[in-house]
Amino acid sequence: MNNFINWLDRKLVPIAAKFGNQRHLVAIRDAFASLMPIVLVGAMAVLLNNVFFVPWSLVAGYIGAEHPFIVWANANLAPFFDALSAGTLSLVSIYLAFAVGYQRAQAEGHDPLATGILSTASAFVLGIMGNADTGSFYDAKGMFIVLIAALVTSEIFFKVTEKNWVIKLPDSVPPAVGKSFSAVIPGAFSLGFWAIVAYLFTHFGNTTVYVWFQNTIANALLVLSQGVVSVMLISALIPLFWFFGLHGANLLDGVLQPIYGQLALNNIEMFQQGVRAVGGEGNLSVWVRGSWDAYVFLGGSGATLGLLIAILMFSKVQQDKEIAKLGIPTGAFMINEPVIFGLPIVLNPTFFIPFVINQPVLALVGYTATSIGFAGPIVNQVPWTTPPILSAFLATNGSVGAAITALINLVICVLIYAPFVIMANRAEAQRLKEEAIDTNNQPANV
Amino acid sequence: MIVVFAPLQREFIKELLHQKLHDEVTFHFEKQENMKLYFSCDSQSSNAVKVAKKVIKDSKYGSVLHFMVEEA
Repeated sequence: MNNFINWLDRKLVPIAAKFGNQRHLVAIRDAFASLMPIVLVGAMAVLLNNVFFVPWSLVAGYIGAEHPFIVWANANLAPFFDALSAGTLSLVSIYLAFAVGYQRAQAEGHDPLATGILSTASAFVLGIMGNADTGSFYDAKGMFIVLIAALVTSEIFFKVTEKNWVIKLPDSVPPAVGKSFSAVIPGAFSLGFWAIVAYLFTHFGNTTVYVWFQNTIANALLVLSQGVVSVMLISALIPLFWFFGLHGANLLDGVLQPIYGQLALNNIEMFQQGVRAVGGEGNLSVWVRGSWDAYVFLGGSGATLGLLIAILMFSKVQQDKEIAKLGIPTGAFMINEPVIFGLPIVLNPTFFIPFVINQPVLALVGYTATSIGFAGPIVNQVPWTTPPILSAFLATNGSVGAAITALINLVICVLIYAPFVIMANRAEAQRLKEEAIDTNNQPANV
Repeated sequence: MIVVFAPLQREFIKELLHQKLHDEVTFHFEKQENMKLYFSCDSQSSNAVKVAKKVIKDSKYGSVLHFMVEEA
């Protein structure tokens, strides 16, 4: 085991660090993280409307859309939450463009404000506002293009600035003015580049970058990301990283967030617009970022709530039982570090198989249940700390099938962990037996 | 006393903290038990936990390591 850990230390960790510290992926990851207040406020507003106040809400489903409360709430409360959603989720690509530029500049020691503003402007130069036929791309649909635009804009800005092609004003000029002027030439290069790209698309393709991307790459990515194999593969990869002591979320978020995070926001927007069909182009996505929270991360990565229940039911190891008792309250809110390091699970061969394989199995069940319509699609964004089952129920806007699926998944992960907990019992019994023999064989002190 | 749970890069973490002054806290490596690294410190443990977490997170492997720091 020590040789293996040494190998991981020498070979795997430096590669993982290179990937995890890749500056563009770090900027994307941090930019998404910095959008949290906007996304959560918007998602909460949509959640409240979808659950309580609009005629298609969960409550309206029980008491009727014509109920006086729903009629009153739809007229008086829903517009307030609509305004919150319109100013947040509906413009998320704009905020993302700024955040990526800002994060890149901050990491490279350049002017973050100027880079953020120019990145946002690039999104507009490329035609994010769309037209009457295409509609705008301010919402999650525009995310990929603004990501690329912001990353390239930042690079152009840095290169031109580093060549010192900047307007310099005397020291007597206020710093804010001086900084603005020094960003003029780099800004002209960055925005000029995107203006040429936009012109080429319009002139030769009679389209915009956003529309072209939507009709080609976005659809291909959609097919790829929505394949059950991709979902299961990612689901296996995350606990695999965690098991070996690597930060699975940090490593993969830079890649996963632009795809599944975008699909999650798309689902929220489309559900609000009345789309109910699931799967396929123009419909709600089967699998989005929140699907992992709803069906897979039951109690945290590796669905460790199932392990805790299995330990409480089957374990004869007193120490494990104590850890399980302490771990249940935090596990109910999806926090499992005390269990992962306390048992431990990381680098513990006993739990390697169940820890890694249960996630793809749970993902398969969640995916199938959503595909066949038993569970509703994820159309609300709930905080990741929401307890299992309730999380699935709320994220799907009250789908009982989704709650049942999450419950079934919890039972499945208990069943997957149970044989290994029993195996740990045997190992512990063997250890105690050997300890007793050693004690008996020790010479008595005279 | 604090304990760092580190499945990987234990030597790196030891070197990072041992006898180094970080944010007015000096850590001394005391012992290792499997993945647990124990450090004594000349500050309140609760503060030392925060400092150690930050130091490890800010290091070159910090963003990819899965670790936990607790008061021992």
